Amino acid sequence: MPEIKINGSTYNFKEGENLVEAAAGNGITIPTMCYLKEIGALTTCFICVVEVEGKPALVPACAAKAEAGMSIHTETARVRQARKRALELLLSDHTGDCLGPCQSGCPAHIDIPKFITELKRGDNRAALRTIKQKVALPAVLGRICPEVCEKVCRRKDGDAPVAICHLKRYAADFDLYSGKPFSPEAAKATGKKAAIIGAGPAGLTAAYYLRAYGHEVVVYDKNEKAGGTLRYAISKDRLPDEILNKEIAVIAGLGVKFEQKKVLHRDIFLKDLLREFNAVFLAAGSNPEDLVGLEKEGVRTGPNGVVFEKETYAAGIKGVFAGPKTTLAVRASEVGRRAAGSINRYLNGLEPGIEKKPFSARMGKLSEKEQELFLKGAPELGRFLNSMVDMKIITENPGEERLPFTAGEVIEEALRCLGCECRKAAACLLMKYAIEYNAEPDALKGEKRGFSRDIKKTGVVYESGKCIMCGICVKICEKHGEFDSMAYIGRGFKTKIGLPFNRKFNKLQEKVSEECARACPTGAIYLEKEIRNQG
Amino acid sequence: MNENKEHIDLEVVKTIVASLGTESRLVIPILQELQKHFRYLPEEALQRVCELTEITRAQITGVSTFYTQFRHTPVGKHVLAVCHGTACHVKGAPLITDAVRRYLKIEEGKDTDVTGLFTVEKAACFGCCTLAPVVKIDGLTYGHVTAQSIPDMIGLFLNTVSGNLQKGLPETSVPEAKGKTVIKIGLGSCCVASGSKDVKDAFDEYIDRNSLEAVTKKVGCVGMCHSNPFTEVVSPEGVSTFYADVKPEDVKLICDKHLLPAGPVKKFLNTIKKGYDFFTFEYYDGPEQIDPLALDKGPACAFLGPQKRLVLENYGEVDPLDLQEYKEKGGFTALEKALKSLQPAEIISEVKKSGLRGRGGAGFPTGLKWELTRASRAGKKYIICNGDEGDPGAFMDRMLLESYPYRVLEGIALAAFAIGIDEGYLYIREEYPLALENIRHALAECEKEGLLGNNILGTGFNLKLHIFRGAGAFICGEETALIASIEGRRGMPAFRPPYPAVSGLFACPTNINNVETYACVPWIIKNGAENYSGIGTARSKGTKVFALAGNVLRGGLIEVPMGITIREVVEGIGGGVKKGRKFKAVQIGGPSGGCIPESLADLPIDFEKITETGAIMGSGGLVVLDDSDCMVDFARFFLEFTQDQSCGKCTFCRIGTKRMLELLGRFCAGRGQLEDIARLETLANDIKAGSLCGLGKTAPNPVLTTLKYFREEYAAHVKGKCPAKKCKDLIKYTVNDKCIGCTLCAQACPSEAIQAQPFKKHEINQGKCIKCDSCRAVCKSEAVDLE
Repeated sequence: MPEIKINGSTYNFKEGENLVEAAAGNGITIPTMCYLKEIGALTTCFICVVEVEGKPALVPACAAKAEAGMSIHTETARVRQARKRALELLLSDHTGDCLGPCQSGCPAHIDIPKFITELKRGDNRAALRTIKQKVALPAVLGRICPEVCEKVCRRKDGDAPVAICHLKRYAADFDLYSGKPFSPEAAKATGKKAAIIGAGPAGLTAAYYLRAYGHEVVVYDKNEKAGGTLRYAISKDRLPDEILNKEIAVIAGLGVKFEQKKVLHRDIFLKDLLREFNAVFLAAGSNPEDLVGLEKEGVRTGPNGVVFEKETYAAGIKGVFAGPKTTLAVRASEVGRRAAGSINRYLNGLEPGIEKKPFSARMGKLSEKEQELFLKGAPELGRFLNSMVDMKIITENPGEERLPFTAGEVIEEALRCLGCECRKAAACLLMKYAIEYNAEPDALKGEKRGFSRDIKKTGVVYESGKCIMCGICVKICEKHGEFDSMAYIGRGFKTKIGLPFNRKFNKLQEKVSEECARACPTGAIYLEKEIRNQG
Repeated sequence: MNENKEHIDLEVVKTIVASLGTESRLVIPILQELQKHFRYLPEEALQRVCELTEITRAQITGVSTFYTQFRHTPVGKHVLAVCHGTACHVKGAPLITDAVRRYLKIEEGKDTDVTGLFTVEKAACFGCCTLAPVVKIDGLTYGHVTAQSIPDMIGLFLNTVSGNLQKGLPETSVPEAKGKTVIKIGLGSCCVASGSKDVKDAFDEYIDRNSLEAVTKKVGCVGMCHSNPFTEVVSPEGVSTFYADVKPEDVKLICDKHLLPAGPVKKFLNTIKKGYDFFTFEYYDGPEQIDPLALDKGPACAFLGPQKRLVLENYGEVDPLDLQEYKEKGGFTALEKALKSLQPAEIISEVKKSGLRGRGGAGFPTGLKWELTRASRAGKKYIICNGDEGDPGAFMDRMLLESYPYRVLEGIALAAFAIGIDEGYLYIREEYPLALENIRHALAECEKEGLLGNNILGTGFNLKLHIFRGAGAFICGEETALIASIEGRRGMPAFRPPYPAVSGLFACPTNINNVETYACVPWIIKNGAENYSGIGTARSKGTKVFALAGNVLRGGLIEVPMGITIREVVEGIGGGVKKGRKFKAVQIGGPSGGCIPESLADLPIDFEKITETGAIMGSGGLVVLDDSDCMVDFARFFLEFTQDQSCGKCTFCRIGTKRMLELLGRFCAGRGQLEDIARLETLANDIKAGSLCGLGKTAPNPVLTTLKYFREEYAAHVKGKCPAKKCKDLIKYTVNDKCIGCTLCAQACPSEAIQAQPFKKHEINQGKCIKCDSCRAVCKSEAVDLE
């Protein structure tokens, strides 16, 4: 068998194989989006480029045949840069939201479409579990959050946004009052200890997640009771103590210890803590007097509070962590969760580092025409909770600014959700490789293809805005000898793939369209019934 | 699609299919015939084609929307196309398009005026670069158009069509010339556009009316486009006298001088001698005398002297369509010699020895290519002549096909014989009607004379050549895209290998060369490889034909020995830039090439030397730029072209060129940031590295070379300044104290930005000013400033 060198090692390959196949045969993956063996090389996406020794230009591995004596490199810096750039170019002309705009917009990135889907089918427990993957205090946030997610809800431009915050609160309250509130399965005890200074939203959240990771956690707080600003700065009308206490109790129930009325540099000292604990998270907020205490303890501070590294939250002293200051509870919650993640890595002997913002291409604002198309077929249900109702309820239920839903209303409201997230996110190669090659969705901005949606009666959907022009569907149609088949229309940047003579997607045969949906490397062609989160 | 559903006669479809055939590869010719009939492609007709042929609906959709030539909506009665080639761009084509649209009152977003009389289009390039800016209305070409001349031009056109629609193309009959004075007039398509056909008609009429002993003769392009119409009077004794810039009014003077007892002739029109200004020349201010033009001294000598004409041999002497004359001048002796006394391998060896490299741009050794194709597996092979000269600013191939069709055919026949090929295609742009016409004629003549077809010259060698009309796609100059196009597909390039030499047209081994490459071959075989390789540099042999255009005094079609310096071409042959202007750069290689600054003008013309600068030799467009040209705008112009012409197949080119264009647009609008310069450069390098075909790989060149040599201009645009005062968003027109209050500017202003105030200093309302340059163009007292 002929031999080829891949990344310095020699391998065998079969005569006639292209470089993608030759590498795959030896367990080396070369990424590609437009290549399918049964269709042959289309050479359009250019993600598969590799370096071939002796050739000045990068070579698409799907089209180039392996030759005896060839030496190729599949992951050099140059190759990775080219792939990243190709992905960024494709993303710059990719009209779609990987994640629902609500999830991208939520400071804590709660998987909102997922928990709404769960509520829709009446599975409150699952919904709560989804929510608690990102926030530790959902009942609290469900009352005081400024509804950032609802401001970007695509239904907002139609009638009114989905009442996401109410729904979240419903799921959380339902859980809190269920008698057996959800508590995450704590990981195996690690034997590592972490101290948290400050029992506000950041500290409480960090405690919740660090404990769930299996570490021992002690929270030190200057006040009489835990809660920080949640307890001492927010009106009881909006956030009754009962709710706060219940959620803190859940955290304490996990085994988190609280040491109240402990002031740094008076009652506790950093160097003592560092002796007793493996890590310390400074979540004392940015009150001037607290900062003075920190400074005296040798922590560097600046006008924005403790000085820390952006990527790791490391605060200059080994084992000490701190995050950015914020006045928004939901942001503070996210700071706590990220800090917990970074500290967890540190405690497990890894390089500390905070979780990245979840990857998502963004469609941005839709034109009026696109908006109309987007909302087509949406359930015509009005938002149940509007501010008028809210006001009435407040007077009838003093102490609670907003009324939770009833069980039936929850389903009705959940049905209003348009499910804007990409249904094929789990299978989307563009997203997969964009994450793998650190491609930034907004690196190159410019004119985009625009949103369109064509739904076949049987539930196959074509969104040409997400098409990356790989050409696979055109070939599949050609193979089946379709009468009205997917065709290239136009030239250059303006090329679209669609049916000839402005025919609708419906003209495509059922079986063929399903095959296209399965083969489409992005969410451009998909089955309506596909639900991302059930994958 | 069209609201007023007209009746579409589908019988026509049947007739067209019956005459052309039903194979799917015929989709382009079928569409061309359909469009010829309907003037656009009605959907019903396309569907009918699919019913009658093997062409699928997806294929007809893909192909008909790929090529620029095809229209899917009805057009106005006349199509007015403004050329947006490089030379035309330099000479203000965008202002012309704006002005035409304004004059015809075409609404934003539409292309046809309300009466349906004119549809206005942008054309990629007509290859009449020395007449820039050029407008073509239906078949008629108008050169040196200005915003002010548009009403006259349209009026003239309407008069012409109401009288005689056929005006334009020359007839082919040749009267007996023995013992008579011969008046030779160039009738290449740019000569015709500058009035040579009118001059010929005037001569014919005058000779006929006065029964003079003279005949007119149409000859091919002389290349002195800056002094068209160019006329040569040859006495029966063979003495030649030349005249430049001849007008029909001069015919009497010339005839009187040469054909009647001599006497001092009045009226003078030798503009070159007067040192006329090419741009603002006015014809009738001279004395009443016409003087001949001396070719052995002065500007004409400077133009012709340094040139070496092998490919353009016998320029201005022969009738392009006269096969006998071509033979008398030694035509087809190379083919006869080859067929009768040389082995194919000997021809290949001779071409290899000559050092000839592909003239299409990349410079691949021609002999080697032939050898590879010959060595490729036995069986059917094809030969293709690439005449898809899409490079805006180039017209070498057009001129060769128009003026030397027999030489091109002889070269193809030599190559076919050497490689062992019996069938082939000439792929010629639809935008070159005269080239198509002449090649078609020449092909028929050759077949009649046994020089092509079966049993050529009785030697048993067969070669059947077909003509394929390109349908408007620059990318089809790329060989694999060209092949896709002949096969009836979208012109999308394919990955190589396999190279066409191994698997090309219809999967058979195929040899593709450019028009000029083939045209070099007869000379080499006739005169020997050593004579050819004796010209040029170490690695670039022979001569190169260039289309010299842009801001240069003497533009035209030139052929120079390799190794001549850029400065010798621009300042020597071209006579430099307009007085008062500074030679800034040359753009070489068109959209794939780059800008070489004046500081590197002493560089010899040589494939490798040019490549080192970041430009490429390309097919031969040479556009001269002076200090009134903005390099950022120029880079944007090329990107607009490549972006429009990108086939859209691969990511880097399809989206990357668009993003580059958007960045360049930001600079031109003064909205660029300093970081955008680096961003643009990185993107350009990434596209160069990652593209599949030549178009994508070279599209960043205009950007990269201008960034390399003129980076400070980008920086100036970031600061809101356009140093060349070209970018509309960064300039301002004002009136200075020289204003005499003549109101001309106010009359010329199309946007009511200037109010007429007789005898008072005028003012420009900046809010209303559309920066069309009309006021400055009409002002006689230099009172309009541009800042």
